[in-house]
Amino acid sequence: MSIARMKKIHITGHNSIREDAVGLLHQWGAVQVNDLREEFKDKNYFENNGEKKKTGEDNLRKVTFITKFLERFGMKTSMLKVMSEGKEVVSRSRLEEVMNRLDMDGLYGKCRELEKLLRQTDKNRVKAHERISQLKPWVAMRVKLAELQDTVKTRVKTGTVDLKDYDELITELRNNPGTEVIQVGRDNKSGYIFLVYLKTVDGVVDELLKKHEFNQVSLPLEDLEPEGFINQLENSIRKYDKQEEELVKKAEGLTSNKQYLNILYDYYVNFSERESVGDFMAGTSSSFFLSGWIEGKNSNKVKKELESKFREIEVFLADPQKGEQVPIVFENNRLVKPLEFVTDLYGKPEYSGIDPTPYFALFFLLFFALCITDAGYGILLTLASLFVLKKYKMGPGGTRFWKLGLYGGITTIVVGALMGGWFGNTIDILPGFQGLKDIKGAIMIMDPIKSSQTFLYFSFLLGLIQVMFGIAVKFYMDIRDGDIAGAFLDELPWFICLPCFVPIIIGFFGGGPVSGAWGAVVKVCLLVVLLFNGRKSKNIILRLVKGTYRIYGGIDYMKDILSYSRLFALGLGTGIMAMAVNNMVTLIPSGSIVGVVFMVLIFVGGHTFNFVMNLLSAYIHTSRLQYVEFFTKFYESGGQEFRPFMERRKFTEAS
Amino acid sequence: MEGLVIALFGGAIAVFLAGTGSSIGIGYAGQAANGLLSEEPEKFGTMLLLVALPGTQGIYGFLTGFLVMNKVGLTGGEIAAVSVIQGWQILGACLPIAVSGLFSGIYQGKVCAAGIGVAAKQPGDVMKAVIYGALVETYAVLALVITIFLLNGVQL
Repeated sequence: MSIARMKKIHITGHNSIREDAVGLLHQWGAVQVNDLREEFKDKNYFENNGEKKKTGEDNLRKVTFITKFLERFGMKTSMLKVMSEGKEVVSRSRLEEVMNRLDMDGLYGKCRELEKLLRQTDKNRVKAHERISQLKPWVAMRVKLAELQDTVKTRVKTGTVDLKDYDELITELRNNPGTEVIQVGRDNKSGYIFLVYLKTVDGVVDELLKKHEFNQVSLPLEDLEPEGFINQLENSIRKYDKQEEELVKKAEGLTSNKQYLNILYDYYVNFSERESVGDFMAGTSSSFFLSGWIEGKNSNKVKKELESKFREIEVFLADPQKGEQVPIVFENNRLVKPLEFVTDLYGKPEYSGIDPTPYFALFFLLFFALCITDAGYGILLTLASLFVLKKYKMGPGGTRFWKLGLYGGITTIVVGALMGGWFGNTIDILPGFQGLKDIKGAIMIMDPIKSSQTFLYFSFLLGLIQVMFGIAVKFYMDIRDGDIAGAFLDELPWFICLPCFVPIIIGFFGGGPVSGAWGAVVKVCLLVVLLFNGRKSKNIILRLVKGTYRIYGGIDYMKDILSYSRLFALGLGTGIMAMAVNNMVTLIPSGSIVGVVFMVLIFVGGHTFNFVMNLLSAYIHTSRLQYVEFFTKFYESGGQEFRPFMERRKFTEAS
Repeated sequence: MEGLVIALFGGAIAVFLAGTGSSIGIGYAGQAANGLLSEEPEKFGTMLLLVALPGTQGIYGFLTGFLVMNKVGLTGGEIAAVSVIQGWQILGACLPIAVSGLFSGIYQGKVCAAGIGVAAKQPGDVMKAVIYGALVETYAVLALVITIFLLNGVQL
């Protein structure tokens, strides 16, 4: 059994020790705190103490804002660097020192101000650019913009008209008495017109303009000609650029606070988290009540510690009740643990269910290795995983992932050596090295390319084994849950029946005469399924229909097993691709240095590419075989992850 | 030698039609997944399976192509003398997986693309969407089985 036993924990105590107790729980990170808001609607006492929570959240918001803002100016903390160098250990006194040294409110104000100024500068500049592009077509107009205004007797208009109407409109306007029109210029879409006319001919001109869809453009009333104004705008853009440069310099000056900000960020994240858990609690004016889940193995220790540290506290432990949604913790040994990664992607089981990880662990690693079948690539994966594990300090999730890589790598080395793949056929085509070739030949038991049919049948055989194993696990679960009839009538017949198909199919494909016994066993098994699968239905016809349908569903087993041919296809694919890379290398004449350099480049590049691509598809398809072909036999997800109330630190470690 | 050409053409059809089906299918699912990825990058792992699901047809096509090469002796040993009739037989044997691989790949891709919507709205039920997607694959498998039987039945 590898789902950890859980206990429900209830803690109640006097308000005077509440903060300390919650602080300890936070530090230990062993309890998932349940939200009691629904249960104790009006008795949530913590709100009257919201001041502290608000301060915490305020400060967190400020730190986050400052960090986000300064990140734009090169303050980004590289998480890779944090992982490789380790997190700074922050003691109480160091934290106090940081809080004294760093005037956060002041810094926040400065950053706000800088941000505002930067935005303003940018806005002004964009506006100036817009003005310029608006004025550009009017440069030819040698008139001060401010003069483009109506007088007592005349009207002044500037605007554009579609090119196809341009000439016509100009001619028509020119023919109109009391109108003066100047062609300012044209671009590829419209013509620009400057127009002065007497107010007495208003009607006629308006009519003409309307007819040709004249768009009036109002230009800024500056005391300058368009060209002069553009020059002025360009000057101001230069000014804005300079202003921005100065502001950026100021902001960059503030990035030296990085270390302090990171420390404060971690502090306030946890501060807020600690405060906000109060929302989940209930209580009276002088006591608090907290309820949650804890792993069975930690429960007594936590109870004892709490009760010995505080006098005014009471801790109760209880077993989970039927029907309660219990959070799931897996309990696997070190070897199986990394494979929980695969299970987690699919979803956690129910508390009453089963942890499938130990059941597929070996299959997963073997299938993964078979998809790659190259010891050279196995070595690469092993070294890469070891490197990452050694260099970077990661959380449990990251460690688990790279350990999975390490296991996969080691298995691949073994399987690859058995299949004789060392960066494809590199060893075979190397001139000399007879010793190496002998060793390789001695280890190898099967060449997947030469005996490809064997490889294919082997894949199907593995499929049959895993599918049968899945049925066996379901058989075990049925017995465990007391469903004896289910175990013997639903699972056992298939378990017996499936392997009997092997000799029958071999016979069908010309493998010689088949003993009738196999067929007889199959018939008996299918008869059991036909008669008993629908045993819960009273109606005999319905019962038989259900049985028939279940036999029809047996096609799924065939589908599942055939699906394992992907092991063969992927395994063969890796080798063939690697051979292709090596072929390219041998085609290059090795006489000159340039030739040798090219050979090395193609060898390294080609194999790296092949390695990465095959790694990806090996992982995907191996997972798929577990999820679609194996899990469907017995596994159901639907459980919730255990999320303990614990400190989360990104940049620092508590001392 | 015409027989050999026809037989290899059959194998080629199986590889490229089934492969096309898978590519289009993965294309649909991948596009949908990228849409969700831009909002919720942490769902990459969950969606990976849905996106990769329509890849099986391509593998079956590859397998068939390989079986054809094996049949005519291109993977080792002597190349068989394939008559025109036998060539057509082999080509015919390749058609089930070629055609159903093409279409089931495309439709499986559509089902998986819709499954991405499940990943977005009901993350807990993604695996049910995977099962729906896998249902489409049944018919590619049935076609593969017939292709294998037919290839086996051709007497060279």
